[in-house]
Amino acid sequence: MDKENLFKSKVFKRTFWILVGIILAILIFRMGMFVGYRRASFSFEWGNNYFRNFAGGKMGDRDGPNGPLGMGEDRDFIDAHGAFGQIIKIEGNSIFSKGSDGVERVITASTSTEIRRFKEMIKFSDLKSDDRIVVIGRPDSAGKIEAKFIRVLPPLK
Amino acid sequence: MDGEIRNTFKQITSKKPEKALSDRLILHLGVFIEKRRINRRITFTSLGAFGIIASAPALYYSGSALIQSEFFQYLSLLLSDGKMVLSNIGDYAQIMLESVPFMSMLGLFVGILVAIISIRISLIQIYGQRKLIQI
Repeated sequence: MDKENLFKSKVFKRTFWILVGIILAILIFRMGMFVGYRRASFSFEWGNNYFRNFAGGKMGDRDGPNGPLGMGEDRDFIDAHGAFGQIIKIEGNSIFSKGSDGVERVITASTSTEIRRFKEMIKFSDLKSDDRIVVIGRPDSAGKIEAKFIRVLPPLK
Repeated sequence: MDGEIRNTFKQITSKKPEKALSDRLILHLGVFIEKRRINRRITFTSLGAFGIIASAPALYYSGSALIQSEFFQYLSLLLSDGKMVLSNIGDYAQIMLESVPFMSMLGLFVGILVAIISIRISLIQIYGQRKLIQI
């Protein structure tokens, strides 16, 4: 068979696209595993540290109300790199927020955390309960989210 | 040998049915084919209609789950705080991937696919294959 005809042949094209499809499927699967692992780890740490974070550590190492993985009967894993919800309590440099899924999260702010309301930068002390926030951050080993950026949303009418 | 057999069969005249009988047979076959076509049309049109009706709640629930998901809240940050998002692109990409409601989207796309296939099946039965291609 001619080299030119080989590359133009249907068999070659079909084989090429099948290989491309397999490679894409593997990459997508790997990405899914990576994201899923992060969420599962954070959900586990959230559940494992629930009573320490929310009950002041009085109940030791008991699992959270949604089990060790932070999952309820009809609940998915908890998002690890951000949060969206309403502030229910502020304590020290920690924000306790409740998401639209009813799950509580602890968000810690540092000096490098940028907080914005509309176009202006505000201080951590300007935050108050019932503020709606969107947070981008990183999970830590205690089931909390270290906030890099907090956007305060306008209140619902 | 072959030639002899052929010659023998050439001379034999086959008996043909009477015209009235052959007309009745052809009419009976025509009725049978037409009945089968009508039944098929009813069946597939019903299937198509059922598919459209079944996909409506799937579209509704998947669409509402998609709209109510946190995904759009994080997406809005891209418009309001683009610079901040770019400086934390790794964490932003992670949260976007984590918050995408894949099952709702799957339900939505499956619902749309079922609706499209059902509409096509119904239209083919109603208008026929040729007219559908012209459309």
